[in-house]
Amino acid sequence: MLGYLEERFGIPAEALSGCRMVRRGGYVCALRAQCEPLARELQAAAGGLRLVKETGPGRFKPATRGMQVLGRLARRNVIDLDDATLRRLLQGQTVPVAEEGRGFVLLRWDGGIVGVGLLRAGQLVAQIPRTVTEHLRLPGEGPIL
Amino acid sequence: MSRLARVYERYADVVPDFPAFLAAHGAPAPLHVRVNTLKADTGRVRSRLAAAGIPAAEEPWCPGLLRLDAPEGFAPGTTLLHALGHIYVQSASSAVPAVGLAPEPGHRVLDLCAAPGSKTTLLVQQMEDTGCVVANEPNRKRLRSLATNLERMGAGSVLVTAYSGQNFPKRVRFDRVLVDVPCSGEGTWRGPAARPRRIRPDFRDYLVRQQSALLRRAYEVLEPGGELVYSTCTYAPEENEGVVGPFLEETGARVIPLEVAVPAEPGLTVWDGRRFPGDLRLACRLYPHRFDSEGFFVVRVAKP
Repeated sequence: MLGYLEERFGIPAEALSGCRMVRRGGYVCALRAQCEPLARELQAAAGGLRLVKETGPGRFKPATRGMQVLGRLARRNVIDLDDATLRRLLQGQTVPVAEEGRGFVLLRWDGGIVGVGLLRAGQLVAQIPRTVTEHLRLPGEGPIL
Repeated sequence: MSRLARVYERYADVVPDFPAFLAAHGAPAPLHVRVNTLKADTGRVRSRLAAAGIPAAEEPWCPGLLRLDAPEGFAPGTTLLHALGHIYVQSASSAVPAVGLAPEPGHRVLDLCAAPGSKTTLLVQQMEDTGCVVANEPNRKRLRSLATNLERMGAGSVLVTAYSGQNFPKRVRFDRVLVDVPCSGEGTWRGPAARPRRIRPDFRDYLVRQQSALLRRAYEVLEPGGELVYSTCTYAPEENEGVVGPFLEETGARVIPLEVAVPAEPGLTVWDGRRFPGDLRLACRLYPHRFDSEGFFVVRVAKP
């Protein structure tokens, strides 16, 4: 999994050197190593940061929340968005982009990672879960806040 | 006499400048958001807010806590900054217990009554997402909102547990414990939407028993030399000094100063014929006419 993040996005494996990888609900999550002794003693209902979803043997889909934290270290397959493009993506539209290639990309806006997108034949669609945007109210015009 | 005055008149002898205290409850508390430094930069968030016509002033005692001068009806919870986990809506008073606990990177910290997670996520930020924070919440519905907020803020050093706080396992020990107990919530009754009500004595007694049990268990799971912070959002001395006083006498724990530079009144040593340990003068009572936010009681205790 660390190899996938490094290969696809250039996120160095060292970024997670202080963490243990744990499986939870189909996701691989990063949990601080110092939590491990407590995790053995206590019944934890949740914990750790979701990094990727396992979609098959050796196949991963990057997770929104994990990429929002780690994505700032990404060196490739990152697409920068202006307000107008981000607005369209968040409304569920498919947007034509100049980038080549296909597969998962990270969506960057105002210096931070918004989430994950899927690129295919010059068309980009956001992969941001509804739970992330359910309370979001985008202004009709003006800067996005 | 207004409803507010009737509900609060029992505090007329202990709250300084009582008319100003009552008047402050007529207006809502100012709106604050905290920048999540795990994901965002305070300068960038302030620039975004400024571009949307919302000036934001940083509270000097809590880096990243911004007081917004927003138009009426503005709901920060509907913004993209919130959806991305770049900000958390949190009252200024509610940040005081976590700032006062002052955990260090690498510490083991327990937040015994954690939902919805405003203080937990501030603790994680203070510790730079290192060490381990155990966020405990027994209520299933509140547990979901806690887990959602922790995910949103991108915390990787948190374990969520669902024990009844009074029965939290004693086999583990912590360097710091935050025990922000369920309370009557009198300090949050500000503004026209507030619905002040008298607290029935039997309900108050129930709360006090629960608060006392939570404080004792918090102390039991603390390492020797460790520190805890006990807090409520109520003015009621029964739920504050009335809980902490007997606990201090029973355990030999000592109160230490809360090093947070906010205007606070000292804790009470006498109330309604009851005497409390003199140490409790070091506790902090936050009143809205002195510190423009919600009413809070915060005390920091060290375990010998």
